[in-house]
Amino acid sequence: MIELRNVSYSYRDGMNLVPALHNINLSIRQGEWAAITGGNGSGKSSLIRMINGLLQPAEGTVAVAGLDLKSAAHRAAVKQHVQMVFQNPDAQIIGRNPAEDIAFGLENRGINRDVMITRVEGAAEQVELRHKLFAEVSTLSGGQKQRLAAASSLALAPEILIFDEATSMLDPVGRQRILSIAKSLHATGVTVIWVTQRLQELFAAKRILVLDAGRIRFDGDARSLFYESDIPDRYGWENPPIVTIGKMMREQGIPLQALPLDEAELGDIVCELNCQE
Amino acid sequence: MRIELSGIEFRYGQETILQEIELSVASGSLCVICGQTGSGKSTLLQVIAGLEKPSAGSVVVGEADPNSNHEQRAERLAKEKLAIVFQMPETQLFAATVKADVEYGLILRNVPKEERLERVKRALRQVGLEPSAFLERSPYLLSGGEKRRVAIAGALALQPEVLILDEPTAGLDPRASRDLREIVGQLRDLGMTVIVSTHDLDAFFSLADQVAVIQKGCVVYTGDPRQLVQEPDILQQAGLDLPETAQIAHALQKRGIPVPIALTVDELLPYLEKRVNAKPATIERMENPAINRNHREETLSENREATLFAEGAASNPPADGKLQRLDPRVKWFALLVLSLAILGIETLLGMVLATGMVLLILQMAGIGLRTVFKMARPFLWMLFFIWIVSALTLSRGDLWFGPVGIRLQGAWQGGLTVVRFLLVIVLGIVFTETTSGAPLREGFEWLIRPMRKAGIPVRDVSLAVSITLQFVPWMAETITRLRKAFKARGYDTIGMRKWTPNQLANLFIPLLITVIRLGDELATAIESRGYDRNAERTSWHELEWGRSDTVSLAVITIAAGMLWIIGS
Repeated sequence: MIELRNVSYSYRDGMNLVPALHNINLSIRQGEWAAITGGNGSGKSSLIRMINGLLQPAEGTVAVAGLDLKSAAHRAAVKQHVQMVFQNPDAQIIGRNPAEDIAFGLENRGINRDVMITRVEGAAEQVELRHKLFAEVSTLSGGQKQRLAAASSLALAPEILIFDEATSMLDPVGRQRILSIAKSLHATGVTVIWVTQRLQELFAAKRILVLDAGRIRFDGDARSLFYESDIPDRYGWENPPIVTIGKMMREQGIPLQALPLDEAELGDIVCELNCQE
Repeated sequence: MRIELSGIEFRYGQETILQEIELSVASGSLCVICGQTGSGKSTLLQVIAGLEKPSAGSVVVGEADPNSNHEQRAERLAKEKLAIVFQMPETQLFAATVKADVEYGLILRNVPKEERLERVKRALRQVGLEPSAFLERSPYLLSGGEKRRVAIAGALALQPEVLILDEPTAGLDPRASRDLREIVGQLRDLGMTVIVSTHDLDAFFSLADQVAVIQKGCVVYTGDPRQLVQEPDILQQAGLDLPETAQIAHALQKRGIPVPIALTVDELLPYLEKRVNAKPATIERMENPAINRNHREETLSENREATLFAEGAASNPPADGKLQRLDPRVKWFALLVLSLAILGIETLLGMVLATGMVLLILQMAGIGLRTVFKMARPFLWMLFFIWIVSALTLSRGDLWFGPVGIRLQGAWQGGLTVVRFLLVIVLGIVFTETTSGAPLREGFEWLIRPMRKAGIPVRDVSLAVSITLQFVPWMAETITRLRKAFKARGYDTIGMRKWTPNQLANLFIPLLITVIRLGDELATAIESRGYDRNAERTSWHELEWGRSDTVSLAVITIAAGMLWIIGS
């Protein structure tokens, strides 16, 4: 589905070439949920912009949905398959109301107006913004704007949806809602790539990629990231409480596969011990 | 330095942002103010900092007598002893070096040069940046976490007794946000009173001496964070998540496992350790955790429905004023011919007629004079200036004030010019207020389509025009935010100096950077939605010429012709 082979990329900052990605090899299958994390300048943004053809590698190949993105025509066409929700709620709305914004991508695809109306309404419904279709964009909250961005993406029926720190400017309720929109799309088979700096959001992913200085430093699940790898220590992360508890349990002899990732799992472990007493 | 708020109310137009706020923050303590976006917490911080004047109630910082009428003295005191750092403060950095940026507030306060450098260095050390490595660097080339620390150093250089931080960890990576929390703890331990607003409860609850929960402009809880997490309802109703450790403890309690509701995992560990130790068994398989997950998701979707219901009340029907429905091409035409006719008016009668016409149009568009005033305000000073300049004379005055004379003819001519411009500006306002993005874009693209033959990218131009107009409110908001940030650094305490080119440049640079960044992000968003200037596209808004459009076109042509004849 997504294949990056020996991809390297640098961007120009004034007179200098700043290396952003080094020899990245990565494949992501259709229907996966992959989280990407890493500090500022780690290469997260460059990596995901390779996937939807916004950037072109200096070396290596990128293939998405069977399209080799070397060709400009393929880079334009890949947008039919990949959509993105960006970080800044103010910087991705095109139009004075949600209806126009959702319609923008459909217009570009030359979709018939009757179909367009159905898709605009359907997408708004899916993110619970139907009642705001004709509201001025400036009256929407940050959370509503991000939901609108999600609606505008999903109206285009992408197979791959990338959330680029889409929750970083939102409060807990806003974050939850974006996350649950992503989950419901994922349940229908959409590949979700979730870029975040919030450790708590990594737990939703089956697969986590940690980037640093343009290289993939970790590729695996949450359990091995937090319980096995040296990544949290190496990057000065503070362990989430559940992991601190889990590590304590491991010292008491509980095997890795049973270590908890959320409070429900923790409850199970403690209850089980309790039952055996 | 203690802070006392009593009976604080804050209204913005018809809207009540804060009401009946009672809050007292002890000297040398850390108070965390938490609430959803839009709950009013940022406004509350600005009221405490003296940047916004409350509609009612009093703010006392330090030992000032609340009954004294020396409001200005209190305000001065507040400004010198109190510093505020806004959300995403790195967007307000403007100087070429870290040193110059941190030093800015000290220069405005006339701190002697030799003392300034010492204070800058100390402030940088307080935020964990080694002065020798950072003083001469450009703030724009630092990492996100470092930029934010520079911005906080700018506040600390003022040596405040009270430091207010609005969402200090928002958007930072885990490392930077951990470092920042440590800095906040250290400042409090040094005796500074610190007020932090946040919805990141995990970061600050375990440090806080006091927590205030804001919901819809009211303080719904104030007190000990440990007490607060015992009752998850308060936080949940305010749209906030319990800190993670407290969530874990509640979940365990629900399953009959006796643990205290703790704020830090260290407090929880001994209890769990005891239980795990009691039976050091190895577990083969867990019970199906998916069942519990499903249950949680159900609860989440219930919450969603509840919020949706609440939002439904604020639902906004599509605009249906007479002018809103008119074809955008008619409106472009009207804007053009009426503006030309108005600019050609030379007589009083013509001016009276034109003014009446514009007022009638405003009435039909349903736009209030207050809105017009608000939008035209940036132009009013300029127009007033033009009028004054055109009336002044040094040689042939009708009235003399010392060496300067006023020429009545000049004043009359200048007045006419000013009114002409003003009427055209009002027409422009009517146009943008009644023509939303897509119709405006379609109408404009239609209008300039003939230019395509001349190689002009008409689709790009019309998209650019409609997006620019769409972002006018955003620009206004950004300028207000920047001005406030400068005000917080002492910018407006120096009278006329605030209009010097130097000061305007300070405002202009961060504004320019913000606008360029927005433009860049928007361009990316447009591209990723498959925009192609050459490809065939369909339209969400189809231009449909109706009978009312023909009638309007005729009426406008006649009116503009009449104005032209009567006016000249």
